[in-house]
Amino acid sequence: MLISLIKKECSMWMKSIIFYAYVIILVVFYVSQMESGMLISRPEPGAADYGYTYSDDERIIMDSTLKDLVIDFVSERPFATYPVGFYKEITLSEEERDEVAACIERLCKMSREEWEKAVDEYEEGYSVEYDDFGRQTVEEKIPWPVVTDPEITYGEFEEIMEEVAGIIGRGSDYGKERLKGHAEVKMTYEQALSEYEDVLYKDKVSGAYARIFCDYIGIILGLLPVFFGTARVLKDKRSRVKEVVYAKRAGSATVVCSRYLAIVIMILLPVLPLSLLPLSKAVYVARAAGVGVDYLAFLKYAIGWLLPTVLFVTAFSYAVTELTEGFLAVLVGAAVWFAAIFLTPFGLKHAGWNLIPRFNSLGEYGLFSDILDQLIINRILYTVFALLLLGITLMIYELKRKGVLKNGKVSENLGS
Amino acid sequence: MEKFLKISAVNFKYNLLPHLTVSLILCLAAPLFIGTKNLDAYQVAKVMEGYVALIGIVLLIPVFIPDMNKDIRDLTASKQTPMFFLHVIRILWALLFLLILGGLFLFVLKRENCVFDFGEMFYTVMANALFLGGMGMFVFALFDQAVFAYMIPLVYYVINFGGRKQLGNFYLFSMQAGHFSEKHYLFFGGLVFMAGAVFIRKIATSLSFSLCYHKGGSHK
Repeated sequence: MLISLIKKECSMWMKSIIFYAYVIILVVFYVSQMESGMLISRPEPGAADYGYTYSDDERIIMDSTLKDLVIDFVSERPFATYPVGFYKEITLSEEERDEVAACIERLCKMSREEWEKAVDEYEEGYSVEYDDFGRQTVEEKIPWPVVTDPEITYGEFEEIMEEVAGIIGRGSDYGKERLKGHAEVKMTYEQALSEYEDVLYKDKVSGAYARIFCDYIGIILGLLPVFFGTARVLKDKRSRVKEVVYAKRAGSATVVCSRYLAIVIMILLPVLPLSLLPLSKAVYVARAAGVGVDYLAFLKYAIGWLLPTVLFVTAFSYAVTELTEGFLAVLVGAAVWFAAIFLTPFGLKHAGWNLIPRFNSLGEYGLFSDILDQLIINRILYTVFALLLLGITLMIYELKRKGVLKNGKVSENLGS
Repeated sequence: MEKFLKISAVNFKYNLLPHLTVSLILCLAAPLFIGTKNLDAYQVAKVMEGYVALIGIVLLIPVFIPDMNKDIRDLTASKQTPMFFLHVIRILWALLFLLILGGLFLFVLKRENCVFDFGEMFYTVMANALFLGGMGMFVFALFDQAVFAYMIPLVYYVINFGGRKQLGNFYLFSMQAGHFSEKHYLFFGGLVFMAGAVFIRKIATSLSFSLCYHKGGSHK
């Protein structure tokens, strides 16, 4: 019964304009984001730039953080905060700016006039040029002049930065737990070579491509299933077949699960053929480097990374629409997506608790290994949430079938 | 006038109220997620173009939702008051609340020490809201699919984060780069979408009504 209902549901989606709009959006999004360039090549010794990594050196963390703080301060751009886990810009008043300036004075042991003048002089001799490929070349006539005083210990530095974070607001980018994020340093040739070899031998090339594929496609899959879940529930309401379906022999679990699984299948259906395009690139790179390739990498990543997002978003929209029989799921789903993409405190290479984990990098196997445990916990969590929501949907459906709930409201006949 | 008030009251109670509540929550929740103090004109543009303008989708698309039920649609089409008149009344109320919420939000930003040109920013948020909401209305009228009507403007909104090149004068976030002229295109584009949507609905209703009539369909 379940299988035949799933087949019926899938064939219904094959006739739906929403499904075809989804396929077009998916393909256009893929082509616009991923199709240009993106080939992994062996780093050459003596190159000007091998990319960036984060340092654990306390002195580098202190100096980099102070530099970012001073640049944010003098450029008068808003400070980044994450008060409820979401990105929020804060523009300080003059009094608050004076307090931050006093903290900078304590860190570099220079008066405000001295360090502001030093920054002006630095900026006069600073220039950035971009080549045809968008790579930048920075020219500094004098080195960055505002550094932490050598007598300041890391503990004292953390205390002062906590004061700064207190002035800026809750969840400031200068809070204790975010300081390391400021210590970005250039990678050496040896580090770059080791990273390249990790991609060849540990990632088997296709793993690196599968990650960036999931990163981009996850953005779309965090939003579009909302429309499927909502449309499916409202279809019954609109064609007024609810009562007919209620009277059928099929149990509530069979009806709800078949519809839910059909949506999940239809969402993933175009994703897998689309993954053949980046897989072909991975095969090309692997053959050029003379190494083997993992042909199943995309399937594994799609199931482990993308499926929990699809399961959750579909279950969420299904549950909310089954309860309200309106369009609330679309609006709330869009808000959740907006928060997950634009207001995330986790950055573009972090899983955290985000519904849409990001890893916007081709390669960096070491960094991915560091966040893998968190990613696995994240994905399991959203899968569990999805199953809970599906259970709730089932309960709502059953109550409606029994006449306890009607049109999203408790039936007036309940007491009679 | 009596008819206008009666239709308005029914529309407010059964259609507009929940969407107005969502819009109000969206505006009241703004300080939780985005900075609303001491902003300059570019930062205000970011808030208005990227956040507040979304209430256009919330308020305008539901204009056709009451007609989704075929019984109600047939019933209202059979009445003396034309459907066109009902749609215009619903649109006017949605626009009125759009103006009030957009204006109030800007007024609060002024009180929070933000520096910007009130008139210019008001036009900006209205242009974006009309364009997104009008686009949804147009899709709704064309395909008679409410979910699809929400999907298209939301996807269009997302596409705008990819850059302005392909979208030309219909780029939503131009004021964040200090460009105002695009707002005229969005404003009039929104009006065209809305007018087109009402026109399509008018044609569809009269076609469906006359088909039913010739088939001997009953209209209670």
